[in-house]
Amino acid sequence: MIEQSERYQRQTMLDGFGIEAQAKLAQARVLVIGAGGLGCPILQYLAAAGIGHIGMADDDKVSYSNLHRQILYGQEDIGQYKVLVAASKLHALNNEIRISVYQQRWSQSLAIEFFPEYDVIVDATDNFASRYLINDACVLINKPLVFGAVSKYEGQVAIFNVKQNDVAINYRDLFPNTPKNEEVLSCSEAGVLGVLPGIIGVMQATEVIKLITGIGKPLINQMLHYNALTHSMYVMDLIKNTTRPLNFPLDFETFLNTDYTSLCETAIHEIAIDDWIPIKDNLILVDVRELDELPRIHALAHLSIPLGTLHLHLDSLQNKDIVFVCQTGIRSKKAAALLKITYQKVYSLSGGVKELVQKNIL
Amino acid sequence: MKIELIFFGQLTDIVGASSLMVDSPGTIEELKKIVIEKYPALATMQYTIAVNNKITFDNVVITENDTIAWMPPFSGG
Repeated sequence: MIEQSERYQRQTMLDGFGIEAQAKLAQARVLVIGAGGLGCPILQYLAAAGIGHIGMADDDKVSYSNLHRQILYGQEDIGQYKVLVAASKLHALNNEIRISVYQQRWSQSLAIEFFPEYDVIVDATDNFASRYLINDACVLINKPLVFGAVSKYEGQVAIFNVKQNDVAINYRDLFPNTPKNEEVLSCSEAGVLGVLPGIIGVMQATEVIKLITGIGKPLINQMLHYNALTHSMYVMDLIKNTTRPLNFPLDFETFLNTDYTSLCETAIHEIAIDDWIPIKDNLILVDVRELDELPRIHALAHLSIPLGTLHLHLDSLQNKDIVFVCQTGIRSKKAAALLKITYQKVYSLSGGVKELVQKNIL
Repeated sequence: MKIELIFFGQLTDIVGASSLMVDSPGTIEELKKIVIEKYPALATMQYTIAVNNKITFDNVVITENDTIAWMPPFSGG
C-alpha cells in the first residue's frame, strides 16, 4: 500500500502533495521517447517518484560520447541497447513500478498503437523528424506532451496540447515548418555541456509530476528558456498561430504517409555548370552576391538579389525554377536552402562565378 | 525610443551578442527588416518573436522599453 510506503515519505509529507498526489503518480502512465541526455534524468526521477507505468523508447546503443551526460549508463554498458540498460537500472531503483520497453526508433504506427495507452508523452529525442512526428501524433491522438530540447548551453521546456482557457498550443504554433537539419545544429555538431540536458530533463520530469498531480502552475501554453552560463530563465506565453498556415496532417492517413525524415533533410540540388548549361534557359539565374562584388555577370540574363535581402523577394520568386549563383557556391547553397522550405526546383550552381570565369562563360 | 532585443541559441552567434539596445523603427516588420539587413544570416534561420514575453505573429507597434525576443527551435537531446 502506498500509505505504508516509506519510499515516498519525504514527498508525501509535503503540504499540498500528500498521499493523494502520490496515489495519482502511482496511477499514471508516462511514455518517455528518447533515452539519451534528456531521457536519462527524466526516467530516473519519474521512476524514483513512483510513476506507476513508465514506457521508454530508443533504438540507440550506448557509446563513449554519451557518458558525459547520459548518467544511467556506465563504461561496462558500451555497445548495449540504451533501453535495456535503462530498464534494468530503473528496476533496481524501484521494482514497485511497471516498465515497458520499445527498442525501436519511434514511428507513426508506434504512436497510433501505443499513445492511447499513456496519459502523458515526453519528448526527449534529439532530432526534428522525431519531434514533429511526436507533436503531430499528440495533436491527432489528443495527448499532453512535455517537450524539452537543448543546444550547447541553453535549453527549452514546454507543455503542449493541454487546454487552458480553451486553447491548446502545440509545437507547430511556434515553428510551423519542419526546420532542415542543417539549419539548426545538433548536439553532435555543436556540442552540449554535460549537465545541461540533466537540468532540462529534470525540469521536464518536474512538469510531468505537476501535470499529473495538479500541484503548482505547469508550463501549459508557455515555453521556458534556460541559459546555464548566466542561470537566466526566460518564460514566454504562447498563442495559437492563426496568421500562418499550419501544415500538420489532419488525419491518420496523411500522418502515416508523412515522411518526417525527408521533411527535415534539405535536398539542395547542387548543379554542376556542365549540367546547368543545357537547361539554363528554363531556369531563372539569381546572383545572390552583394551588388559591388566583381566580376559582374553580363553575358547572361539574371536577377541580382543579395542573400541578405532574399527574404524580401520570396513572393516574386514563387513557383519559378531557379538556379542561385554566388562567388564560390556557398551563399548560393544557403539561398537554395532558404527557398527550399517552400518552393520547388531550386538549384545552387557549384563553383559559382569563379568557375564561370574559368570556363569562359561570363 | 530605445527597445531591447534578446537573442537565443544560434541567433546569438549570428548577432554576436545575446542582447542589443536599438532605436525602435516603429513596428515588428520594420524591426525585422533592419535587423536582417544588418545580420543577413538571420534570413536563413527560423525563429519566433515574443514581445514582452508573449509570442506575437502580428505586425504590432513597438513602444518604449519593449523587449523583443528572437527564439529559434532547438533539436538537441
